[in-house]
Amino acid sequence: MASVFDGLTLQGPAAVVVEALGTTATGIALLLGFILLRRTLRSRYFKRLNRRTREIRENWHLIVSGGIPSESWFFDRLDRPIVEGIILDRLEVAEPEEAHLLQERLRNSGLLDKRIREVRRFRGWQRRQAILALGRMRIAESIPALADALHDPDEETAVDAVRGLGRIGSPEAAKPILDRLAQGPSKCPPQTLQSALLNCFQHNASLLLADLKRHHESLRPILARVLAEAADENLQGDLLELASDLSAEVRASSARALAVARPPYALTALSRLATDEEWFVRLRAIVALGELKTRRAIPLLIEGLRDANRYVRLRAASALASFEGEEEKIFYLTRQTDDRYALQALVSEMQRSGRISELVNALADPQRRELAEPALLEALRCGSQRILIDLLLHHRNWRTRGLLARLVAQSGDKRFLEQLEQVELNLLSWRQRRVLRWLIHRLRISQESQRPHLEVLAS
Amino acid sequence: MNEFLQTSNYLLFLYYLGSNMVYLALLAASIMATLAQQRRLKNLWLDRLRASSLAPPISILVPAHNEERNIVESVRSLLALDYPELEVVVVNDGSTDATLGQLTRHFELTRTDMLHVSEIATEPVRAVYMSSVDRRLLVLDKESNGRKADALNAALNAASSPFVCAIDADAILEKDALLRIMAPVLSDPNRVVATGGIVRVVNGTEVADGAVRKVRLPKGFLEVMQVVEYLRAFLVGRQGWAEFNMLLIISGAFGVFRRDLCRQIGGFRTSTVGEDLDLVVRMHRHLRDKNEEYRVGFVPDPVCWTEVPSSMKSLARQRARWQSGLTDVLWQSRDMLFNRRYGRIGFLALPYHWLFECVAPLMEIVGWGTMITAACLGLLSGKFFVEFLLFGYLFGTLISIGSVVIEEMTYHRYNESRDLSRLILACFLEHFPYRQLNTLWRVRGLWEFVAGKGAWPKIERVGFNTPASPLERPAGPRSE
Repeated sequence: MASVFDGLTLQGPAAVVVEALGTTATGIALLLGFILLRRTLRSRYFKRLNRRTREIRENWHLIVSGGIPSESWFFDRLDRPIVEGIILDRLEVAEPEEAHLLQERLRNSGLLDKRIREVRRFRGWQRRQAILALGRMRIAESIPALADALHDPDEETAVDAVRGLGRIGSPEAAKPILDRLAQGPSKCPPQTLQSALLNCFQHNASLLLADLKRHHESLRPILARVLAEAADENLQGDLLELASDLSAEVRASSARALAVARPPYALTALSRLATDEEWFVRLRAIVALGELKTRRAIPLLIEGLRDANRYVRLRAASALASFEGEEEKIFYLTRQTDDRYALQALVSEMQRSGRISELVNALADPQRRELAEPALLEALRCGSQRILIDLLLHHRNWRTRGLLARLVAQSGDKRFLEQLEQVELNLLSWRQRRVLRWLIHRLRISQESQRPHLEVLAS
Repeated sequence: MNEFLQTSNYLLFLYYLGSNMVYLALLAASIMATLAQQRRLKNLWLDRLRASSLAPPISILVPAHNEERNIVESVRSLLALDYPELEVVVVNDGSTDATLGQLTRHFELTRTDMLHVSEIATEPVRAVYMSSVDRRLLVLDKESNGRKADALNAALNAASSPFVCAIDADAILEKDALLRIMAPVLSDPNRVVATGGIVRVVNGTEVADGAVRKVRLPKGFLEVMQVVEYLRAFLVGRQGWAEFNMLLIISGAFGVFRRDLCRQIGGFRTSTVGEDLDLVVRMHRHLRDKNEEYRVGFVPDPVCWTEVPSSMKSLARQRARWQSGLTDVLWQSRDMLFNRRYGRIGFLALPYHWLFECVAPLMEIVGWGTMITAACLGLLSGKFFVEFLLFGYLFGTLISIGSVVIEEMTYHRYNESRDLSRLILACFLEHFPYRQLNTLWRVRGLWEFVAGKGAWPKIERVGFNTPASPLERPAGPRSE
């Protein structure tokens, strides 16, 4: 009987298999050869590279000072990248004086001009490499070349140019970026754009205020976000105008800038922003109010605890938890609001931020105890039973456990008693069991003594 | 009978040719993508991102079930990661060992009344703990239903960052892994909804203080085979699919997802053992239903190290579970197949996974059967039979060596010549009997799915830098 593939030996699957077999075997041999060859060449290259790097580093001072003429290394294909690499790495950490010297070397040796030429002449990866190097050089002469690259049809090259200009970090370098954005939408990721602009305006945030007023509507939110990040105490100008801007993004950013710049009208402006119709504006305002660290902000933050938006409530709680020594007042004011969600958010945050544990620690300190005791009792009333039981049983300091137990016993808190009774006694040590039993006993006595009063009140 | 054998042999030949062509295309695409990625990395300036206030916060979700040996080291390494703003949410998923005790002791956990809103339904959370040592650590103690997805959902409910990173409790992330895996998100924050990173085999590698010190190949050959599989699956398979925005699998051991999207689609599905694959498929479905532009990315350089099974028994269970999970997810999404609304996912990615992943073990067994029968009946020339087998063997080897080449050209983790030689040797030797055993395990997985037996098996951990013993890990590369 003839084989099913006999007829196809020449043109059918069998022929394909024979041909594929040969190709695959050749492919494997080539890949293996490639791996071996690459390993060998790389090992030789790195040996040479290490040797030359060592020699160059030994003569580094002469190279930087010009004692060794740049022609001796500039035209060598191995030496030039080594010298350039060392200079660029050094620039990342150099003090201004050394940086100036290194930048001079880049100019005098021709490395700067070479890279500028490469950015202008090349396309693709070579251009991107040159842009990267120019950015790291941080020399203003490269701004026009990088500005040209902003218009590269390749998206990634244009993004690299934005990064490069950002690295130069001066308002002059930001100008081509802003001009490019004004011409039309860019595909550059907002993160990269903001980061580059932030670098450029880091020490000149006031200049951004003028740009914010001048630029197109679509650009203003980005500039506002940069302003918020770059703002410092020296920021001059009218932030109040931004706080009442039509764009919610700009209003939100102005809140952050207000917290950093702290003009005299900051609290007033932020209190208005804290009631804005957009939740993220309110969120930013609440965060900013927390950063102001003024006691006058506490009532506004407590209002924030009652916000309809969960994130605003959480941020308000987080801001309130950062006020040290005000815990008792904050708990009291929050209870006055009669808002269960507000109270829950505050208690959660006080626990998360360690304020409750900190208050318990303060019991052992006679100077802090006076303040800590009423705050802890308030926290207990506000629903911190579980964390207090945990600290009561597991706090590392036995004296603190005792003080906490006495304090809690005084409170006569019914919910605390209920939760204590649920604790599994068999999981505890004899010492813990003793404390727990004593506490339950005291709380029951306290409850009993309160009952006649309650009955009178009820009748 | 003869006619049937002839036709089936011919169809199997075409099937085999088709699958090889797809692998070849994936290899070519991934080589190009990897080279481009290497160049792109030079321009990323991770150092600046590290110090940036603009980097989006991430919550790391760590489901832990009986992980007392590794959990402290894992959490320490996570808290030490280079990232401007992160929180670590560990879920003690009904552990019966001292997982929670270890965490409490080492991180001074304190029980809190923190608000825990179960937006996605999970088993009850018994308690929420905060660390006094590091405020970025949150521990949930929940009841277990034996599903990792349920623990992940509880962590997802507690996470407060816009991005979440799901990882295994026994995994070790490299210090800058988060910065690197976030690169696609930072480059295109509006479109990238999820990114996966590469998972590598930690067996044999020196680990100290929660960090990898010296990368070496494992000693056991079974583990070396898995190293080759992982390289092939991640460097060739996932990289290739991601290049065409058709990536369906982001390993549960290491992946970043947009939190709001995860919550919108109901989190991880608890009724499957392939919850990682299921989540990505449902993301594709959701976003295509809404006609949104999006990307699911893969970054081959952020490295997550994880233990692989060192015994045949646990490996068999793992592979069966993966196959069962894959089949389950594909079955759940069968309406997406060849549906115009789902574009390339419905017309290419899903059919590929059905044809060359799901039913592949069955096809392989049928292929062996019909070819041997045909050869015995004299319907197939012996010469062709041998040539065909040889071709199959060499082609599989070519793809594996291709992944080693990508590794060599780019990441170069295995520096020792001895390791490289063993890796290449494994490429040649994995076809017999490892491949056949793998096929049988996968058939068992298919059977488990049909019989409705897919479940998480008991896990045994040996811990890092301890002598190898049977263990089971919850997620990995799956064959591609």
